[in-house]
Amino acid sequence: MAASDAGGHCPLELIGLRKRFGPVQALAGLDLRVGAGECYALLGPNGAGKTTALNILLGFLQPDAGTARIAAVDVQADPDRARRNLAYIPEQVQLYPRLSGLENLAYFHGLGASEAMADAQLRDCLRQAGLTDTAHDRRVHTYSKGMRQKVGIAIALARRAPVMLLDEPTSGLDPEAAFELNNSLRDLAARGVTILMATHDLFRAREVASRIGILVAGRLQQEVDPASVGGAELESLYLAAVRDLLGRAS
Amino acid sequence: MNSAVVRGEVRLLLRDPAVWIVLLVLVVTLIGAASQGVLRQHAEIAVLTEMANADADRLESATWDAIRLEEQGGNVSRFRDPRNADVVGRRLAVQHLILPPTGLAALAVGQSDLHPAWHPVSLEPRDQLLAEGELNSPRQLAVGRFDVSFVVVFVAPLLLLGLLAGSPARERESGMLPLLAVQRGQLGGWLALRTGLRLLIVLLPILVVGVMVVLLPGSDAFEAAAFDTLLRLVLWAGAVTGYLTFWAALGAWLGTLVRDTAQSVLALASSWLLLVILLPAIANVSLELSYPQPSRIEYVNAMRAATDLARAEGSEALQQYLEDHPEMAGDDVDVDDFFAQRLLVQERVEEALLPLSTAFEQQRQARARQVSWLRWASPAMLASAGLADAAGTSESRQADFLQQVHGFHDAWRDFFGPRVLAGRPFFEHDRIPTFEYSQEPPARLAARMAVVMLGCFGLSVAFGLLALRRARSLPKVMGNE
Repeated sequence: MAASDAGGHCPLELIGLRKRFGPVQALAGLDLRVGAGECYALLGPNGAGKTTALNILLGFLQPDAGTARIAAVDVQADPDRARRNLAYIPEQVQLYPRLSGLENLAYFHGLGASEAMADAQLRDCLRQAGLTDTAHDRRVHTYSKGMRQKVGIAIALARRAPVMLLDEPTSGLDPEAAFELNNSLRDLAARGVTILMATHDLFRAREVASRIGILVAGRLQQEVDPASVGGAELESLYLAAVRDLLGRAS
Repeated sequence: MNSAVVRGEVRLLLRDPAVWIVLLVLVVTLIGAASQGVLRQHAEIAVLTEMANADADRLESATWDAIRLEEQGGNVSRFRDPRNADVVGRRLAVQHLILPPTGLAALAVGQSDLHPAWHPVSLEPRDQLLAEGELNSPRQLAVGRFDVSFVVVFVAPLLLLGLLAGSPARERESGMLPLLAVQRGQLGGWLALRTGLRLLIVLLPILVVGVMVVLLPGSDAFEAAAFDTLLRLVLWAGAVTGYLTFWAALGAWLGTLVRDTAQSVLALASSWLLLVILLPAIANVSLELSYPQPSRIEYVNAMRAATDLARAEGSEALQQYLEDHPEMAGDDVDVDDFFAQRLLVQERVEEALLPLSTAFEQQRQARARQVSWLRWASPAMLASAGLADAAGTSESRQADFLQQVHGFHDAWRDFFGPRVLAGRPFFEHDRIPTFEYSQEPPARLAARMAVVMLGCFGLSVAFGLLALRRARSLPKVMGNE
């Protein structure tokens, strides 16, 4: 059960979300509540509606029906205010290649902040994200994908938002970087940050998430407590949900 | 948004080789154009100074010769006698009326390659005195019109659009825009900042070169009033800023409409081609179709016919002309005198040509009115006219000067005409009219320039608002792609 505030609102809520792209029903009445300090992993095959759900939460897409709320703010009614409570790490973190990691962090953080962050604080964020000190001042075009991802995490950390959205955050990361990312996410959740992570990676999802939802054809098919299932069992549950739906569809 | 973003944007620009290439091209073309303008201005000032000195020397020499001949006697042909009013008014006292270059003349050739900066005034007919000035500078005509105004109107927008081509198309293409949108909320301010910085990269060197050209020693040899130069410089800077701001706003708006850098480059290059090349060319064609240039051959033929007729009519007709124009002379005019007859024939010819001259002048005015409207077809035309106006090389300053030339020519003939017809020895060399160019009131120039700036800044605001509106909805557009 997700933790809610005094008004009964969870930091992140999706209620009866529906979205259709032409003949494709991307979301078919998605209901989801993620409480403060909770890390929710949204698992699903390609085309399940994970990115559509994230885009609605980011205010980039208008749902056909339903409501999305971030920190009790209706995203469709006031997307700018909703985004102020949000940090986002895209699947591919794209940065300015001619700036260093530190300069990129200062730039992206500066976009949403009225005052610039001190260098030492920025470096702290980079360290928390797992980027070694020697890389801080190197230009990003020399970075690996994992290093760029870490700068993306640092950007999200520096934002100090109550809600964090991640789209396939471990995609393309080496095991060590993925391990460090999971540690960072656990730390954030422990500090009360609400995390919603869309992923294919069952293993990492089970490691870091406090709840896992299996999304198929725009609908939440099943919710799993990762503490109560093993990796193999989670895989079976996931495949069964996907096959069941595909079987019904055919 | 805070200072870290501005610092980041500046770093991005400083580390972008394209920016340095743009700056290099801009500075090289500006230096080339400015040096050409300065050389041209210096050469013109030298010619004008020489002309003014030659006029003064010739008159002084004629005055002394007239005194010497009267005191010492001696034989001299009537056609060279400095005591003959016709010889003095037609040749010895010829005055080259000078349109003094402004402090900014080096920045824009404007109409000065078509219209000379001086007109010799004598007893010769008006048309002839204007025709004499046409071949004033073959060197200038050979070099063409590569000046700072050309760089501002043609080159600078192209370079600015080159800098704007990847903004925000590159971010969109690379997938950076969603993160930017989440961090920033609305992208309008971000887009305005980066567009403004790119505008400054192109604008600042132009303004610096403009100021340097004006401050260059020797460029103000005709001692144009400091206030006039300062006012013109401010108006010129305003027009340049307005024009380039328009291109920045248009570039920003087009940048928000396209999906990738290739589309962006295509859209920006097309807009430049349309506004800087095609529309002015179409406007020019429409002007020629609506108001073709008056035929000079027709005018010359009419003049010959009128001259032949006046000569054929002989003394009797000339006597009749004098009776119609008693202000020309007293009763003692000898119409058989060669000089009197030449002047009277000339007067009659001009009178006969008056309807044709008036028709030509009306045609010229109609063309000028049409040009004034057509410049609104493209900001490039508007800016081009404005920059020439600020530099004092515009059609309107030329027209104003020409009006003063005509007025002075009338005064010249009013002075010499009766003295030629009277046929008495002429000793009034010190009473010959002198010309002083009267500068147009600054308020009139400022009003014309205000229209240009309002036009450019108005369009800038319109496209800027469109760009901001579109930037606000960019995240939604991305989500639906």
